Amino acid sequence: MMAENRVAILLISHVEALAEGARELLQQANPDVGIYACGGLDGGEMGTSVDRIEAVVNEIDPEDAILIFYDIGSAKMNAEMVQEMHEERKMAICNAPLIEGGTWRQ
Amino acid sequence: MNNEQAAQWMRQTAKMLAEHKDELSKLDQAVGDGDHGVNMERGFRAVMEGLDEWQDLALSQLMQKIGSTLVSNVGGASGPLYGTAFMRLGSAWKEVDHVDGPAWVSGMAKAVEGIAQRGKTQAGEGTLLDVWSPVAAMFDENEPDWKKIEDTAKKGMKETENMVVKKGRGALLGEETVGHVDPGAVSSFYLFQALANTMNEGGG
Repeated sequence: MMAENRVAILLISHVEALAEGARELLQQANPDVGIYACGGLDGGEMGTSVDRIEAVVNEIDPEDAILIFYDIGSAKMNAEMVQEMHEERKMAICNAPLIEGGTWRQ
Repeated sequence: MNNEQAAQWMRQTAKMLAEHKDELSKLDQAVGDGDHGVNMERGFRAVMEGLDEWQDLALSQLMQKIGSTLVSNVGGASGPLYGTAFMRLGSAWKEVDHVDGPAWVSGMAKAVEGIAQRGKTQAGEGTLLDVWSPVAAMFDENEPDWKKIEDTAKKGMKETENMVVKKGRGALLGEETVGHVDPGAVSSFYLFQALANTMNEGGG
């Protein structure tokens, strides 16, 4: 795959263990794809946070397009806020199941 | 409303949300994730922690801080919704150090517009907008009538009981949501009740 078409996958869940577990599973299925997880709030509480999502987005190569998968609706709303704050990034929020959607292959 | 009253509004809101935390979560168990009380209490606790540090900021900056703190700390859908509302109040009040009738009109109109955009929703869909929207309409160019505003917030909250929820997890339940008050509408009622209390105590 050409470098300019690289895609990273970002998994957002209300629960850190869920995001991490999904990342582990999908990384095994797609070893060549950058898969990132963002789950829970600081302190391990359940929820999603714009700050935390933004921090993970900043870890991803700026050249990579990002496909975002989320667990429930409020995660989507926070993802949309990050998307609006970073219009310079190629970012798409996928209305697809977290695991099945994340098995997308390059 | 001046800075000190805005801070007092937040303190009252935080206190009421903490007192009603279990009630809000219980309402949310019927139509959502069951975490609304916990989320709102955590968000406004974070606002409390910031208030002392923000006391010298201009009113618009104070609103921006409250908004971004809620976005970062609430953890559920109410975070971006309430957060956007306060950030819009902040941008509407850039030129004012005291919010009067006209400033309330413009600020609340922008807040309502922000909630509608963020949640992709409109009034009548059984959300917190069913409180914010009629409350915004109660403000006019005169000094606000706080009793009327509190009554309007209460009426808006109660009316969500008869609505079919079209947004969030409740949308999956369809007609089953009729008979349940929207938890976001209830927390919004407390927010405006706290505002009315604060402004009545402070003599406007």
